[in-house]
Formats: sequence, C-alpha cells, structure tokens
Amino acid sequence: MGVEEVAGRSVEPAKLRRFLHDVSAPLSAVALNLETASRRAAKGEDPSPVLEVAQRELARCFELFERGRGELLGDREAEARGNQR
Amino acid sequence: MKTLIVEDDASLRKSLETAIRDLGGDPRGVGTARLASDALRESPPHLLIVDITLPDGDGLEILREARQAQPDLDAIVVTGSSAIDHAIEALRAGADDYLLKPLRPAQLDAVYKRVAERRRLELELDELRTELQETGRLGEMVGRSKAMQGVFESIRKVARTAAPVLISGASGSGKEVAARTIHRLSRRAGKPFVAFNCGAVSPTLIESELFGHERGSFTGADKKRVGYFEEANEGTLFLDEITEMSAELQVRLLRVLEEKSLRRVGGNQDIRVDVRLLSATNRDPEAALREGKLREDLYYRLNVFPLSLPPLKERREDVALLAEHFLREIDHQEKSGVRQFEPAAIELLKTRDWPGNVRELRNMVHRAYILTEGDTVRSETVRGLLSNGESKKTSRKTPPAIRKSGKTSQARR
Repeated sequence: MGVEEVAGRSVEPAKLRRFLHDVSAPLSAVALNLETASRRAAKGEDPSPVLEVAQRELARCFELFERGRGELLGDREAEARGNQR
Repeated sequence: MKTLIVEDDASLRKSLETAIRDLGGDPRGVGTARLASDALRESPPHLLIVDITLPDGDGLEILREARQAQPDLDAIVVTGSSAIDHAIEALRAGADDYLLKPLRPAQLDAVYKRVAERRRLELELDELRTELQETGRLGEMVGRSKAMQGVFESIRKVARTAAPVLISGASGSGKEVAARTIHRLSRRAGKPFVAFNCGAVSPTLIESELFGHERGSFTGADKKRVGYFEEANEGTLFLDEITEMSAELQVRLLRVLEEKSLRRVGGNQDIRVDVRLLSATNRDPEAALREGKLREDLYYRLNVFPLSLPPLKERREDVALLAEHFLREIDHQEKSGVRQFEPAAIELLKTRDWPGNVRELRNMVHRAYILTEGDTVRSETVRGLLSNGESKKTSRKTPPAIRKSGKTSQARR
C-alpha cells in the first residue's frame, strides 16, 4: 500500500480518504447553513436557528478534525515506537 | 420539485433538506440504501440527490435502480473531491450532474436550478404534447383514430428518453415524420436532425456517407468529408430502410453505437459522437431478422423501443382530418385560396384503401387542389381522380419531398 505525507509524516491513503470524507460532511453542512442564513436574513427572516446549526457543525468539524488527525499521526507514532522496541 | 436526498450523515442530510426547501423544492431525506429503495418505490421523486458512499450500499446502485424504474428522473450524485473517478462513473451510470464534497452552496444552487429549469421546460413540452394530441395532432403527425392515439402516446413517452427507436410501417405511412416528431419533442430538439435513406445509396458509398472520409482515402475522395453521424452530433440521426445496409456495415454501425465513437474512412483518429439513433424499415423487423437482413445484435440495439405505424386503411376515420390538414398545408404553399372540401368529396376519399398510405393521400389532395377552381374541392373532382385510377398508378412512384443521394432531408434548428 502506498503512503502519503501529512505534516511531514507518512500515512495510508485509505485512512487519509476516510479522514477527508468524515470532515467534509460537517464542512458541507456549515457552508450550506451559512448560505441559508444569509438568504433568510436577506428576506427579513430570522437566521439564528440555521446559524446555530452551522455553529454546531463547525464544532463537530473541529472535533472530527482533531480526532482524525490524532488517529492518522498517532498510529504512525505508535508504529514508530513499536519498531524501536 | 419532489426531491429524494440519500445521505448517511444526518446533519448534512438535514442541511441539504433545508437548502433544497429554500430553493423551492420539496425534499425528503433518507440515510441508507435500503430506505432509499423503499422511498423510490413509495413516492417516486422528480430529482434524486444521492451520496455515492453509503453505509449499506453503493449510491450508484441506487441511481441505476431509480433510472430503470423511472427513465425521466433527474439525478445528482454527491462524491468526495478526492474521488473524481466516481463522478465520471456516476455520469456514465446516468447521473445528470455531480456535486463534490465539501459542498459549495453556489454549486448546489446552480445544479438545482439547472435541473428545475429543465424540468419546467419538460412540463411545458408535456402540456404541449397533450394539447396537440387532443386536437388530433402531435408535431407533424395527424390522427384521432384509436390506433394513432396509441402511436402518439408511445411517441410522447419515448421522446422524453434517449432510447433508440425502431419504427416499422408500410411505405408512405409516415416513418420519417414520426422520427422527426420524436426529435422535435425531445431534449435534443434544438440540435440537428439528420435523415438518411440507406436504400437509396449504393452500398459502397453508405460507409463514407455515414461515417465520413479523409482526403485521398479512396479514388474520388479529393477532400475530407464529415459523415452524417458527425453532422447529427448532439442531435438525432434517422436511418431509413436500415435492412438495406450490408452485414459488414451493420457490424460497423453496431460498433459505433456501442463505443459512441467512430473513425472516418481512411482516418486514424477516433471521433466521439453523441447521437440518438432512430431507425426504420418497411419490412416486419422480426422477419428481416429471420431472413438475415438484419443482424441479431444490431436488431436488439436498435429495437429498444419498437414503434409500429398502422396503414391508412386501418384508420379510415383519420382520412378527413388528414385531407383537411394537407389542404391547409398546400394552400399555405400555393396560395390559390382552395380552403375546404365538399362533405361528399371527403366521403369519397374515405372509400379508398390507400395502398400508398398517407403519402398517396397527400398527393391526391394536391392534385385535387390543382384541379379546383374556387375555394372548395368538389366531389366530382375527387371522383374523377379516383375513378381514373391515376392515384394508384402514380402515388407509389412519387418520391417524398426531397430525396437526393439518399439523404432524404435534414433539419437544423
């Protein structure tokens, strides 16, 4: 299996794809809800409910990003430690 | 527009539902392939937005299933930006468009509006089709008989799709008119309609006429020529008398249809073509198959949707409507002011069997028009034409409007 570089470290492409896939869902939701909020505001409607959804999705995105990044890089660190032993 | 959203991420699904609702749609969201199958059956949508990656299946399978059940469904696939190959595969599987994740609202907006606009035009076309059908007309076709209403209904349905149609019917029954009507009512209406009669050109020339040739590819090929397939690109190609094509050429035609690309005679480059093929024969297609006039593999390729046109003697009730229609059409060209038939003249026309079918009737009306003085075609005129048997002797020999070098006509809009 080939490897790619993330932060100067090599990672498996399948894991990287999974990471991007996971993060892209809340990222999409943030973008869609911000657009909906902007449309509603332009129509004089209350944008706050969709802005709250966007905020939650943004938080989920950070959480998934941190978790994914940890898994991607953490695995390699563990592997490296294993090799040293 | 009733929209089914198939997306496993619940939050993104809800966000898509909100966005589609804001764009004026009527969304319903499901999170699995199984629920999508159920939703497609229970309440068929106008638009399907499906994520390729689902926890219990493949979004492309959902797309194929939906397309099979509902050929006129619009479909958009959603895929990760790192999986562009998936998007290409999706377009091949019948998706109308694709969206890359992370989704960009402007992209969703543009794709949705494009689909909605196409759907609006489709509905308008549908209304027009129904309206024409109610007045006894569909495109250039005329008829209120049960047989023709059935033909109109089939044309109305098949025009919306990209399916190949094999039209069969006796000489003069209106096969090219039917093909032109399918084209005019289809999404390709704004693109070229090219008609070619395989029986009117020597077999050695058909290949170069259809596929074109490069300069110097054979004696007499002093310049490059684009074939009818290329001329019809993005539009419709109508091949009449398909059974007159040699077996060797049928193989070549089949290959072009399967590969959607061709090579000009003497050329070494493959040229992509996007052509909807309509074909016709005045033979019984299955008999042509048994007699070896039509290759079996090509027959199945062409005959996805068979359309059989009835002879005029089986729809005598349409004679009056057709005769009046032709009279108006001829008067529009000739401007002699002949505008109507005496009722007895119409009754006389109804008594004939019309072996040359609609084409023979049109010729008869034209002759009656020429012989008429005043604004009304009299029964004596019609009786005279019928009794001297002139129509029977000449009608079958009279060619259709334009027939040069096998290319019966060509319309570009």
